[in-house]
Amino acid sequence: MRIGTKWTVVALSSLVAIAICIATPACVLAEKPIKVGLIDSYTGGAAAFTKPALNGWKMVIEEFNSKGGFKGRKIEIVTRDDKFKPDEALSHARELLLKENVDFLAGTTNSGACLAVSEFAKQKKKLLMVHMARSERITEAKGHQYVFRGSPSADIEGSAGGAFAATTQFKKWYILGEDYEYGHSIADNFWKGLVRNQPGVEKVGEAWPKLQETDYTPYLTAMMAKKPDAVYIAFGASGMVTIMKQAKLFGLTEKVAVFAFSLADSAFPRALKDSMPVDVYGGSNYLWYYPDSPGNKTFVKNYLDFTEKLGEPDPYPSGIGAFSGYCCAKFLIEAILKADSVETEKVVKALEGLAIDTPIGKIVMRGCDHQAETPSFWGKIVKVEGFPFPVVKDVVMTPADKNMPTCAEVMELRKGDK
Amino acid sequence: MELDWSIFFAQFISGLCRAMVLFLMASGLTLVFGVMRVINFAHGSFYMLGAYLAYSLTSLFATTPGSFWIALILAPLAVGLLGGLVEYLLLRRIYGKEHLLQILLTYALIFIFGDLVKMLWGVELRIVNMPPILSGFVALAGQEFPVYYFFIIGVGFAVAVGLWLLLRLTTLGKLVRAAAEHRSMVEMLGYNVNGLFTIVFMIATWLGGLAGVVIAPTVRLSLSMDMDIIIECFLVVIIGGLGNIWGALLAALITGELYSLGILVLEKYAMAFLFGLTAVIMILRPSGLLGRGVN
Amino acid sequence: MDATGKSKWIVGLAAAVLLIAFPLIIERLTSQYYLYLTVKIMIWALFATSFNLVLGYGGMMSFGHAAFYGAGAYCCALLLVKTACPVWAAALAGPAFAAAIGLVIGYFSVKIKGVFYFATLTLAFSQLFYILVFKWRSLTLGDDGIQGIPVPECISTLESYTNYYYFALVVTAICFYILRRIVQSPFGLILNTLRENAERSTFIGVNAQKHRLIAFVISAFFSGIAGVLLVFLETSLSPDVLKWSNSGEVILMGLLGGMHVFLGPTLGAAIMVLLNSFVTSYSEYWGLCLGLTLVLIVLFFPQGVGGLVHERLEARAKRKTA
Repeated sequence: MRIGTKWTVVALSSLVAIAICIATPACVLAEKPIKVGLIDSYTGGAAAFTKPALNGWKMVIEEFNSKGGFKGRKIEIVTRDDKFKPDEALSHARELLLKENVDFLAGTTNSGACLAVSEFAKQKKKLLMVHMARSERITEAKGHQYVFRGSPSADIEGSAGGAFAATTQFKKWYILGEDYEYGHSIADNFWKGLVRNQPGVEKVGEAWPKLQETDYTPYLTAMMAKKPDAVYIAFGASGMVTIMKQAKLFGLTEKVAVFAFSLADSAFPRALKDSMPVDVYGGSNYLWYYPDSPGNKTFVKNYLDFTEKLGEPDPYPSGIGAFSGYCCAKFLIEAILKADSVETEKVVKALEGLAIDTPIGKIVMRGCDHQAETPSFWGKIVKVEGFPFPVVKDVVMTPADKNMPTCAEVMELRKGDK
Repeated sequence: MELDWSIFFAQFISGLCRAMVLFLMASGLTLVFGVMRVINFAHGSFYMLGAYLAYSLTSLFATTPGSFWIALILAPLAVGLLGGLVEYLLLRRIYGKEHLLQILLTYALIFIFGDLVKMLWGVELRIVNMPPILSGFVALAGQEFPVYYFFIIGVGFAVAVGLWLLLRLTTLGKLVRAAAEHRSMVEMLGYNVNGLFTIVFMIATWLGGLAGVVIAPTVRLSLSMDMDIIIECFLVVIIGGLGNIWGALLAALITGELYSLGILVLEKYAMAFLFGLTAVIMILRPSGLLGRGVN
Repeated sequence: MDATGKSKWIVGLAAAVLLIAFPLIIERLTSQYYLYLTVKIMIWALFATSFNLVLGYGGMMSFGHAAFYGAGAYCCALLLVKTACPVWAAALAGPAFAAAIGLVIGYFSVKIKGVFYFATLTLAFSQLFYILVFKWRSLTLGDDGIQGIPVPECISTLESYTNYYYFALVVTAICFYILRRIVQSPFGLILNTLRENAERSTFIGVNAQKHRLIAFVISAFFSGIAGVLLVFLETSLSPDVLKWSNSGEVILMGLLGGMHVFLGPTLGAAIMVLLNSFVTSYSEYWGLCLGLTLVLIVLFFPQGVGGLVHERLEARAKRKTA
């Protein structure tokens, strides 16, 4: 008798559970939000960019939602921390798609992680919007129908840097890079751009310390031994801070011309404080003080207002972070509106060739390889009166089309990689 | 190939610097093992805590001129006290048990401390400014070296001498040495072994915290600092001979120089040298350079 | 005795039925994600159980098992991507290569006495292997990793994980059966005796090093199979798989579940994977949860969760017979 009651309870409760399981999706369907699954590194050094990038996304999405969303459906962003690891990123991508049923995937910062997630997106025919990872392989050799990048690729930025560096006429170069996808990618493209524009430059040496190395000083002394005129530092976010600190420790920037792509981004001077080197050459995909246009000023103000609401006011939006997140969110939303649908295939079609308005002008998503045509900004970083930290003084803007491979070249690369 | 001796010298000095940081860490690790027979995997966490505390203290006293020196005194002390607490509350319960359980417990502490640091300090990029007095250069043999290098090397040697004096001249030191040889003997002589263990663990974690503060102005603080250093330290302790402080010093010197000079020879595989050396030493002399073998 | 034997059969049968019916239930109730997660548990369980042959039965604290897991995975993946090697051959080459690496590392390691020295040597070897894979970009693609590894259609996870679930289930079950037989064989018993008292065993003429080496190689082989299963599941691979933290994770699984019970590591693997998946989707503090769980285990259930369950069951069986 007792056993009978027990079983009844078990049977009844499981029935209820099953009923809830079946009923829930149906009930919620009416106002189901459009879900974007954002996978990124929220721990570790990259967080200095991933948090602002998330703010960039949220800023655009919040405005969109406050205007009523898409046919009454709001966009919801679901984040997952990949801890800068490809296998974790992939695992989260599966979870987001299969369990959270997200409509779109977005992320990552780690290029290796991005390639892994991109492969998965291709298999599952889901759209992946890349917002920070730089490896050109993402949109070139390994590109496919479902992957888009609303931020720059390493070859856009690297070759723009190389072209800029050629104007400075240094002869003997040394390359110091972090031994991972981004480091190799940006350094290779920088070198290609440099050689193309200044034949006869000489590479006197290169070194590749491992990622997350804490002590670069033996590398710096070994580098100085080669007596280069200039050095290109191909480091990611967290390594850049450490190497710049140690370079300062050595007085390196006074002995040799230092070039480093992302150094002009507002995140670095703010993190480095007193250790921020001056009279070095840096670049970024966006500068909060350039162009000095009303559009850009409005963007900076809106971003400040938005972050103020979050309790972390940020008056100097980062290019690699905030601006990239902003652009990607904008691409996605405008594509949804243009397609008048959230179906992947339709949004993919709408994204190809889509142009969005940004504080630095129109940016087009190239149709053939799904790479946004983003300009790069380079120049010498100096102390300027009236600015809170060293900034680029005479900005050299390079439009993307000068440094992108042609569509035919990209297709050739894809064929070669199967 | 023409060998420039001043370059060689520069690499040597930078290796020495790395060696001293490793020694600060490894000495604590090996001291604890010598007395308590426990490998404290969470040692790297105390190092990380030291660095983050240095960040908070230097920010707190940012307007005071000697903020770094305040941090140098206070941060390791705080870390040492925390270490004492950890010993009293947790480690005390697992002495004499299987090594595996001890490893598991200290391994668990890595996760706990890692997340606590994340809760308290967040994930933003944090750096500690160089104390002005130590931020110049010294010219030596045709090369310029940061003054801070010599500060690190100086701290390392001071700690080595301090430990030597402590072990040779004080009762505590004698007890530590005695406990390393015959633990039961110390107990039989009527000394409070529990108290001794707590003090030793506090000294060890103080050393870890000190290493963290000393390294802080030269690096970016990160939540992976603990994991980044612990394996290298563990290898230094083992290569030197478990429980042997002078072995740790020797091994730290070898490790630091091997890495630094290795970059000159074969940059691509510089990291592999340490593991290669470890493998060779383990095969030829499993108890380490100056160890006598402990099971 | 008869009663416990019978109840064991019933439990085993129920588990088998549940495992076979699992995909059907999952598909009705919730998302495919749990099927994927279950396969992941199987892979880790196989890895942890083969590792436990070395730690729990052989008493050797290897801190380098990620090398074998990764060797199996990399060997298989590279053969599939870079050569025209048939899938079955690549799948077999993975564990064979892992066993070969195991033979090399084991040859030097089994002579070493003492937990820490053994751990150090295996760690050093596995890190050397990791650095090699990481730095040899022309062969392994370095940290870019390998993506788009071709998987035969019959076990492809493109549409659903059901087929691959059954495939992994069969492979894991066969491996478990073999490992269980090994553990219960005279060889397994000798291994156990060696752990308990190596000296005495050598007195009675047992070649300790040979036995330990064989156990080490077998363990490497099965870890390699786990690596191959991972490759087919994820279809991409990064050098992270070889990191020392993976070697640490598998130790944690063994200790968490209980290393003196055959199914202990499996339980540990299930707890770790589920806890990770559950906690990381609700909180950023996964490490804190794991750390506190481990501290509780060490202080209160040093025999591991599996050991605890085992003890309880034994005690109940005794009470029944009494």
